[in-house]
Amino acid sequence: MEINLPHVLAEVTAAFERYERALVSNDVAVLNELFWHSPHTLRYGVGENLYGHAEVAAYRQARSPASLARTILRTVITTYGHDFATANIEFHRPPAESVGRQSQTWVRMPEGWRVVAAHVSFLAR
Amino acid sequence: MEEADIRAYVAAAANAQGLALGADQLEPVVAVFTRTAAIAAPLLEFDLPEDTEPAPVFRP
Amino acid sequence: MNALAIAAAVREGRLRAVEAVGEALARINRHDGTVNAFVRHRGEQALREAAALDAARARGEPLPPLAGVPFAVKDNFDLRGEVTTAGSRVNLGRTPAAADALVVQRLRAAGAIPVGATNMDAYAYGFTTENSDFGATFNPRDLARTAGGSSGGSAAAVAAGMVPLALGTDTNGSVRVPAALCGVFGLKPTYGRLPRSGTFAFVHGLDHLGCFARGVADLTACYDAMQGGDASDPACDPRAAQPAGAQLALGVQGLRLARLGGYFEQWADDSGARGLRLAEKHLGELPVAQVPHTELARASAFLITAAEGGALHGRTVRAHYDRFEPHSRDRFLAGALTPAAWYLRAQRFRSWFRHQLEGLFEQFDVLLAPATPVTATLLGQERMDVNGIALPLRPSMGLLTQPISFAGLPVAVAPVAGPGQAPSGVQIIAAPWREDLCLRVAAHLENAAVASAPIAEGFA
Repeated sequence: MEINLPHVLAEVTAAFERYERALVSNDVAVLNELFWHSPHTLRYGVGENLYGHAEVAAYRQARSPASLARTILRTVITTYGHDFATANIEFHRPPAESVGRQSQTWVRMPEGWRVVAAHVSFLAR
Repeated sequence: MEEADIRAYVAAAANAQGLALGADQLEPVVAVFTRTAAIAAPLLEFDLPEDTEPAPVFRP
Repeated sequence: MNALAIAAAVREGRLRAVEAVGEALARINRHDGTVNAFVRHRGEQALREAAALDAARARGEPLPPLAGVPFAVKDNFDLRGEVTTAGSRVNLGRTPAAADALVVQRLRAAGAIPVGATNMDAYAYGFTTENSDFGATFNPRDLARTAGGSSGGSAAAVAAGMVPLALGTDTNGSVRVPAALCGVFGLKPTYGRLPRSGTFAFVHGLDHLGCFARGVADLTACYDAMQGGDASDPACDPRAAQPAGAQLALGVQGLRLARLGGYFEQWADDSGARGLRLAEKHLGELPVAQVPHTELARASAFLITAAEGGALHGRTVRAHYDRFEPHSRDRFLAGALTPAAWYLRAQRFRSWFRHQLEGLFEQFDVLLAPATPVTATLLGQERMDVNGIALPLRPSMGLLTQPISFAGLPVAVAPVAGPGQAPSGVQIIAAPWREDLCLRVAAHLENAAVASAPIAEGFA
C-alpha cells in the first residue's frame, strides 16, 4: 500500500478544500453532499455527538450561519493506497484562544470522495 | 506570524517607539500581541473591496 | 425614589433638595462599604448646591426639570476642583479639573447635583471593574460577582439605590455590560451624539458617553438633558438636541422588530440569552436578521481599541508600569505596537460594515440581541465556557456589544430577571440617531413588566 500517491493526494486535497469553503460560507448543500449518506457516518462536534448522515444534516440545517471564519494553522492530509485518506487541521477561531482541531476520515465511494467520520474539538489549556 | 517572529517584532517595535520593554515586561506583552495577531488574521484575509475608504475626513 | 419623582417633589415643594441629596449621601454611607461603587464623594459641596436650589425655590424661581436629583459620574468625567483618576492611581498627581465635563454642566443646568465619582476599570480598558488600585466593585445583585465594566461603579450605584442616575462611558460595551450584569437600564447613544468634552479619552474613534437609571423615563430625562452639539469634540455631531421623552408612550407601535442571529446566538449561552428569550415571549416570535461578518467587526473594534488606546496611553503606562493596573498595562503596551496596516484595514472595514447595516435598517426598525454572553461572573474568574467553547473571561464579556458600538449604533439595555435569577440584559438597537426607538421599545418592555430594575435586595 502506498502512502501519498500524488494523484490520490491531489483528489483528496481538492475535496477537502471544497469542504472548507462550504464550511466557512455555510453552504449546507455541499456540506451534506460531502458527508457519506449512510447510518455509519458520524461527526463529533464541539457540543454534539451525531450518528448517521440524517443527524449530521439536521445539525447543519439548524446551525447559525455566522462566526464560522477560521484561520487554518496547519493541514495534514495523508492518503493510504487509492481509496482512503485522513485530513487533519489545527485552526484558530477567535474569540476562542485555544487551538481547534478537526479530524476527518475520507473514503473514495462510487459517487466520489466522502467523509465517513469527523471530529472537532479545542485543545484544553 | 510565528512565535519567534512575534517576540522579535515586539522587542524591536517597542524599542523603535521609545517604549523599550524590560525583561519582565516582554513576555506578557508578547502574549497579548500574539492574541491580537490571531484576532487580526481573519480580518487581514477578508476580501475587502478595493475602493472602500476609511471614514474619517479631516476638515481644516 | 426615582429621578423624575424627586424632581417633581422638589419642584412642588414636597421635598427639599437638601433632603434628596442627604438621602443619597446616607445611602452611600450605609452601603458603599459593601459595594465599593464610589471612589470619591462630594457630600459637603453637594449639600451646599442643594441648599442653593432650595433657596431659589423659596424665592419663587421656577426650577429646572431635574431639580434636586442626585447623580454619580464615572471617574473619567471631569468634576471641577477634583482630580479625574480614570481608575488609576497614576492619575492622582494630575491637576484638578478646571471645569465640569460639558454633559455634567448640562445636568447641573437641569438642576441635578453630582454627589460623587464612581469606580471603573483603569482608563476604561476592561469589562469587569476589577480595579487593582481602588478595589473591585461588587455586584449589588450578588456580592460575589462582578458589576461588569468598565462603568461598573455607576451601574452598581444605581442598582443599589444610592443614586437614581449615573453617567458612564461605552467604547466597546462599558455601559451596556454593567447595565446588563447589575440589572439596570442603560443607554449608549449614537456615536457622536453626546459631546465628550471634559472626559478622559480612551479610544477617540469609539468612545461614547452614556447613562444608567432604574426606569426608562428617568434614563430618557437624563439623556435629553445632556444632548446637543459641541465644537470642541471633533466627533460630536452638530445636530440640535432631539428630546425623546415625549416619544416613550408610542411603545412598539408600527415598529418592525427583529432579533440578531448567527454570532449573537453563538456567543450567548442560556443565561446570557435568557433576557432576550423572555422579551420574545412577550413580543411574539421575531424574524432573525443576520449581520454579515460580525466576527470581523469585533476584530476591527478590537484592533482600533488596541491601536488608539495604546498610542494615546502607551507612554504613560510604560513610564509608570509598576504602578499601573496589571489587568490592562500589557494590553496598552502591545496595542501601541499594532502595525498601521492592521489598524487601517480595520478602519476600512468599518466603512464597509456600516453599509451592510444600512441594508438591515431598510427592513427593520429595531434589532434585539443579548447584551452579554453570560450573566454576572464571579470576581477573579479568568475563564468561561460559552456553548462548549472556553474563552478568556475579561475581554470576552463585550463580545456581543463590541460589534454594535463599532458601527456607532444607538443601544438601550433593558434588564430582565425572573425571581431569584441573575439579571440578563437585552440590547435594543436602532439606526443612527434613532435613540427614540430604542427607548420606546425599552419603555414598552418595562410597562409590560418584562424588564425591570428594582433596587437590589438588601439595599432598599
